[in-house]
Amino acid sequence: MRKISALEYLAMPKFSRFWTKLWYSICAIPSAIGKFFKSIPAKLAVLFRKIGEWFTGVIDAFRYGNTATRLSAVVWGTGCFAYKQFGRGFLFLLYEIAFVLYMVFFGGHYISKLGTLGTVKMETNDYGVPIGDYDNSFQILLYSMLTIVVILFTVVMLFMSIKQAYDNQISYSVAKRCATIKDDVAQMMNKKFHLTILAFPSLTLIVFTVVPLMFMILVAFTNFNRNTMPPANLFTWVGFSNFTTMLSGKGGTGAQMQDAAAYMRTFWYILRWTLVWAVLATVTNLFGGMIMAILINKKGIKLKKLWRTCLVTVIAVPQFISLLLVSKMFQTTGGIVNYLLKLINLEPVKWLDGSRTMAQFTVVMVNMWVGIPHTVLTCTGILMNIPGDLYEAAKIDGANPAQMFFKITFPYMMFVLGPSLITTFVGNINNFNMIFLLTGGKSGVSAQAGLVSSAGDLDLLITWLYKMTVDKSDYDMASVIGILLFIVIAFFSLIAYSRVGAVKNEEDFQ
Amino acid sequence: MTFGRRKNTKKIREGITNTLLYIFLAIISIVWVFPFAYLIVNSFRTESTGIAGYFFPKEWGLDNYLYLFTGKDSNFMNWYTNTLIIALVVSVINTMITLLTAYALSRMRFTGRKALMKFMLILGMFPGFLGMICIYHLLDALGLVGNESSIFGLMLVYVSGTMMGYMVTKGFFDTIPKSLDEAAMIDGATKNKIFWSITLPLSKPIIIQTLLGAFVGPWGDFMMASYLVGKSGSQYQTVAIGLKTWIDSFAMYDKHFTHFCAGGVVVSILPIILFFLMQRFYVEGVTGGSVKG
Repeated sequence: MRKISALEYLAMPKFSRFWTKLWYSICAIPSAIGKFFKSIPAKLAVLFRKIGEWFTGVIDAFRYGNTATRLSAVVWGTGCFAYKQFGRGFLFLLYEIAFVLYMVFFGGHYISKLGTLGTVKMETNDYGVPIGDYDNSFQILLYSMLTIVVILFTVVMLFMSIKQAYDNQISYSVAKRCATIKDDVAQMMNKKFHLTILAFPSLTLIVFTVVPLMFMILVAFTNFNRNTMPPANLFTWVGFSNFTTMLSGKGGTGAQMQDAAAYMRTFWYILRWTLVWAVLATVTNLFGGMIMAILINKKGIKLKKLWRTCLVTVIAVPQFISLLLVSKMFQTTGGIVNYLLKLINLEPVKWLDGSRTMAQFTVVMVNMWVGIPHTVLTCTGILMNIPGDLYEAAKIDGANPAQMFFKITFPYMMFVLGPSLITTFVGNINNFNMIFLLTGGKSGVSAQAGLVSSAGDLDLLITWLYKMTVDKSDYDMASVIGILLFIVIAFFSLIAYSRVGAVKNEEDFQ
Repeated sequence: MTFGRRKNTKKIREGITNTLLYIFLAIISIVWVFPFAYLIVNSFRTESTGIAGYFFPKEWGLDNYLYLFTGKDSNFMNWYTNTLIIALVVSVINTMITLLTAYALSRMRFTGRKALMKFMLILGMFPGFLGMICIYHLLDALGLVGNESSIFGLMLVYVSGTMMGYMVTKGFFDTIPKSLDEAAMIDGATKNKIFWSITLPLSKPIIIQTLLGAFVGPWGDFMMASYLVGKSGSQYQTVAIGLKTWIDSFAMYDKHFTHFCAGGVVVSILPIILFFLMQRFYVEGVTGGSVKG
């Protein structure tokens, strides 16, 4: 599409102005993504320069340092003992010893087998008891990840040990004294307070989030599934074949060979519905919530608090209760909704176990029931913030209520809600509860869709990931889905963050 | 004369729109509240324990509630205490972690701060459930799966990713003027002191919002808990997992539907009370957080 000039834009009727604007902002998305990828080399350069600076610091310490400083690269803490920092020196030394012991007795053994993920299969005697030593691919991969994290941390500690020694040397030659333990503790409460307060959260984050994620990302490149379950079996590296299976339906290993094409079809089928669902859920909630908030907050409407409370109860009740209950209310036989239909002489409807379209409709409706109160809460706050004089000025100029809505209320709300829309969108892509608890991921005709690995025709990527893991133990394919889901979410988040400068101008508020 | 009539018609028209609006709002409210009315009414139904194809019970009574607490094959008390312990411990720990992380990232400037924030942003884009496969085996190795200590396993899971949820709180801390900190620093206060005696007292709404969120999260979590305790003994489960087993299959909900309703009422009471007590702060926090992002 060619670029139009400002004059042409102004000459347009208002309605097409809106669409032109929308079209341009959609057109801007690829270039924003392009800019992001173009900026990667520059960002990497900055990163490497920083690491380089860090190294030069260490090299300087070696060049100008005395014996104690140089020796502390081998025997950690020497540079501290030499200046009577016994506590600190002792800690450094202790860490070094612990690390060596860890590598010798635990980590080294596992990391040496990372290349093959084990070669000795478990053999059992007649009673099913394992004989001799055998390899456990799962443990090898997991403990190798842990060891890699430990090694990285040790490199950082090593540099710290050398730098500490050099700092001691300098501060002794200048001030004839080094920091004592008391000084260190005081620093930990003041200038280095961030180290104190981030230590424990970081540790839990690394052990229970980062290491498992590293593990699962690598599992996507192995054939770890129900047929190769350790300890009885070994799994091994298979390269990108899981990805080619999932995306193009070719290749695959072992049991998946024959259903490679089915995997591909299932993936694209579910991805399509995930995106359609996320758009429908976001849009219906946004507009439904906006309209509801405006109606409740309209001048002259009484009992505002009552109406709001009725809506907001949904937020307070745990979702698993309300959704499981609603799933039973929409049952074809015995469900209360069909009973109500019968009262007004209507035929019973197969809400969730009939056609796919009907089930999708029901899910979107129930999602509105859950989601609209959230939007109403936020919108109420925004509505109260709109300056009243805007409306007064509009009234004097003779604007009718519809005009005031489209010219003042709606743009103002979109301005505030806009940035959070993509967050909501991403939240809906990952809306596990709504699909899983309400439908179990299946409509009545799920079997006809011909999906594999216990996928149903209403499943989102996240619920499919769940089912693959829990029902089928298809860990390798589940990891592939996890990574693809990450890519989808990163794509949309990237748009959000490129549009909102909140991260950049954080200093503005302070 | 004409002026007065015009005013009159305007009034009438407004009256009609308002009446229509009231009717609309009433219908909407009924739709929104109906499922909960259905839940409560069914929890008092005693003529059968399955699903009934009608609204009003034929016989009312407290049998379902009695079943929850004294029934022979009901583990509801175990589920409830498990969930309560987990939610209480997790909410306190998580609030501490969130506040401290947000404080460090908002108030202190140190090398690697931006890198850490970006790292957590990217980490948060991975589906949290992905790591569960690995965590399950990790916790299994630690002996925290499928026995009395499985609630500790769940606590660890809920605590582990908390650091990534610092955003809203940091947004709030960013709005507290830095000059306050500087004034305190001139008077000789350490960063530690500033956090406890300046930042925290000014952050009541956000503290309450974080506490509430951290309590309700584990209370209603299904996905993580179902993988960790879904297949272990019924007495080690949480309310979300346990109550779902009661209406999973036809054989189960034919026997336990009204029990599920009674359980649902009991489980919802605490979050509802908390929510309405703290709603004032909640609204403030939501708008505050979203605008200042």
